[in-house]
Amino acid sequence: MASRLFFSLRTQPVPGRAAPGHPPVWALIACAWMATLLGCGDSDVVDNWDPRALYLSDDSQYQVSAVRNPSPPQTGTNALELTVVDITEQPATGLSIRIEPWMPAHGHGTTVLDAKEVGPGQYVTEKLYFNMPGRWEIRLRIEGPGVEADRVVLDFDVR
Amino acid sequence: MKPTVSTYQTRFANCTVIALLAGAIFAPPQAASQSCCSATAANDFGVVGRCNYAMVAGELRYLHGLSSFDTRGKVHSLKHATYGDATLRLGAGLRMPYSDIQIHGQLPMNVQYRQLGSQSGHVGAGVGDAALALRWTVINDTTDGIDTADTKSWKPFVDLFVGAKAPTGHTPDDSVDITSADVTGNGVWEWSAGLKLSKYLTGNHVLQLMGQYALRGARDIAYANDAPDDSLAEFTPGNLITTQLAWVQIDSIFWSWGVSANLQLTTEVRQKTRSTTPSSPWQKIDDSQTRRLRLAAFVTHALRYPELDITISLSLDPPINGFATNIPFTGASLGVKLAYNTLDKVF
Repeated sequence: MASRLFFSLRTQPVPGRAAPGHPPVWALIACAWMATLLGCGDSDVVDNWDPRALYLSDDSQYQVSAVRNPSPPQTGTNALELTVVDITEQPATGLSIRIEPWMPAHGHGTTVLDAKEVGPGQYVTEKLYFNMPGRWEIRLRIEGPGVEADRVVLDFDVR
Repeated sequence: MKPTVSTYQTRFANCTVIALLAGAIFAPPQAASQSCCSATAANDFGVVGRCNYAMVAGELRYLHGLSSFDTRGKVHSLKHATYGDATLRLGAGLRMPYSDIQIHGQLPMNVQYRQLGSQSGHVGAGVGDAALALRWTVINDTTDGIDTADTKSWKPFVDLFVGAKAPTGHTPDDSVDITSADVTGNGVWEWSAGLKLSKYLTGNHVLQLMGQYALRGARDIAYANDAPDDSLAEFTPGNLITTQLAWVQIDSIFWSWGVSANLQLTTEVRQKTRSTTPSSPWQKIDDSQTRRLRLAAFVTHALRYPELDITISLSLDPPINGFATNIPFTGASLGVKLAYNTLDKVF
């Protein structure tokens, strides 16, 4: 009975006042939706990536630093410059570096690439591709002449 | 002063509450006491309405990507990507000889557009993951509303359901498009069970609460760069927990509308090496849980009562910090659904 009374009250005209008719229900709903849109926009993008930071390979044969362009990385095509030094911190030359972009939370990657050597210990690719925003791993397989392949994983937050 | 995240959230929450209350209190006075047969099933695609025996439905929906959420729940606009999905869903439902039990299913067909960075856009198309479910209405509501003098009037509709989703779509492993525009499925089996409560508070106002848990199977993945022993793995996306709160107002046998909030959580993604150690333990992948809140509104009109009705619906992932986490693409969608219902018993 209480609920019937509650819901019937809404249709009872108040003496001396006009009947409520059709109050702007949809306008209020629109208000809620507009409020969501007001919140729309970019959060501050903090890029904590340090291009001088060195990442040690799994078997400690190499240390790698990376410059990303753009930084932070974006969906679409990106460039990556790798600097590789050996255990004596000398530029590691003549390496074969295969780059596998991988999205661990989704279980998929994009095209696997080979980096091109452009100088002593300097390797680049300009075709690093990300097909969605999120956390990506850049899985590097580094193989030097006459030594077993070693691996490094870099974490990128793609926007 | 720049509004803070909490300011947005508070403003949004206030407006939503006002809108919901306004919908309840200031409803048009001509509301009929007859309960619309299909109104309470409008936000369950392919589900047979309360007084119908079978239905077929088709829905065309377009979703436009507006933003993404990172692992910390921060929202980012899609500055470097354009994302659009058009989906045609076909669904059908049928009551069994014991009419409180029904079987229903759906099959989506997707056309997807992705444009990333400065490259030209790519279009992919294909069948999505097909789903089939069995639903049992355990308890029936009188649909007359709550009368405190009548304890029977407090009983809600209680639906129990179990379902399966098959990996009939194009999986990420099979994708040949660099943008993944051709990925239309998860690539894993999904088994779900859930409960839905629908209570007619009056003859015209229905409150619905739904909860569902879905277990997802595994698929194989292959790393190109790992050592051979580690290059093959089993990958399982997180299990899904879905809750939905909905309010439906039935204005007449011809018109009804409603709003809903849908919260979906996924547990951590796991994987285990397959090649040499098949009994290796599952390893959780850090920061792989997701959370997604989607708000929706719909209006249903019976074009020819009681057989044919049309539903127009809008949905939105609120682009507000903290409302979702770890979702690459979210956005707004518009859908138009046509449903044909029959009152005739099939069995």
